[in-house]
Amino acid sequence: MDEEKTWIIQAQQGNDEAFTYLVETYQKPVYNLCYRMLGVADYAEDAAQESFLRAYKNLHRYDINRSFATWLLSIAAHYCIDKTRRKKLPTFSLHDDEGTPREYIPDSSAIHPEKALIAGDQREEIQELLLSLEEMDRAAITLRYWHEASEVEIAETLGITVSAVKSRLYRARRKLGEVRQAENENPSLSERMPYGSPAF
Amino acid sequence: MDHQHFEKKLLNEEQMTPEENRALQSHLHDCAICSALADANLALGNVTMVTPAPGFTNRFTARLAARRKAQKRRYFYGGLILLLSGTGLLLWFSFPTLSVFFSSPVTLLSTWASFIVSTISFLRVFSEVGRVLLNVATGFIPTSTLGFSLSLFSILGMLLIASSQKLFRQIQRI
Repeated sequence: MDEEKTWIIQAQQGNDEAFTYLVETYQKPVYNLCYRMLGVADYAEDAAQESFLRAYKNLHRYDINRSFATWLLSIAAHYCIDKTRRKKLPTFSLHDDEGTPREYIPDSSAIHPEKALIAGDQREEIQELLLSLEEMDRAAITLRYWHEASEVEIAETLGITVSAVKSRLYRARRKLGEVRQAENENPSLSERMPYGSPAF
Repeated sequence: MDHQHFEKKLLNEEQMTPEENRALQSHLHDCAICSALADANLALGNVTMVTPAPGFTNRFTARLAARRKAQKRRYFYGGLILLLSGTGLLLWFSFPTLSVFFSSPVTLLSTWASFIVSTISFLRVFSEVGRVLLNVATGFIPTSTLGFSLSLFSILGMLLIASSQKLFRQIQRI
């Protein structure tokens, strides 16, 4: 039995320290999924915390023979999908009230601030593309590219069939291509709202 | 190899042969749709994970503690309300009989004796009525319906036991 399973069993028996170890291990993938789904760091933090709380509450239902990562990401994905469907989150934009772009402050701790700035721009660009997708498609794309999950794992995580995953990925790629094409043909679109989220 | 071939390959993220790759590169110069698709695929292929702010686990531990505290408070006040309302109802129903406790010993004894006699007679009548009803019921209610009702009551009983166990587990986790 590997170390992780031991922690899980101990956590199921009520050992909080064991669950803390699991939080420590999986905080990054869970937070990343929430951030990709919601697009705002504060919402992502809240959603990731809530996902871990739900996992803690339902730990006795977890089947030790299944992948813990898939189970945990499934909780986070469904929480985020539910959150975006039920309640439209407030618009997030790096523009101020008068429409002037807010100043981007590069990470001063980075060795090459200009590289950090470019990386930040690319990150926002991909986030912008992601938020143009429907929630379920966004979750499938995030799991596929950020978490390198197979189609079977995505199906298991999202509770849909493998063929549904394939068609969602296909549709999502087409949509991303269309958005990218529209941006290329009309650059003012991306200049006007470089960080705003069309999904909100 | 036409546009549809490349579009299908890009949308399904299928592997391409070196020859197909070369043909795709020249196709991308002329096709805005495939160019955008390839661009989006390239962007997705170079993604990075974001990390939460430092102290995520500590914030989780604090949130868990706060959630537990709130749940404990909810259980305490819920139990208190249940206890108070139960006591109130009990007092309300027993109020008429309370006066008996302040009467003389003879009256108290005779009241108790009559209470026991009436209870026994009530139980006797109740069992008699039940027996008669059962005899009548078996005459016109099919055996399958009776069996079904018994099974239903057994399932309900099991559900009750299961939910009690679940509640007990939840209380233990707090």
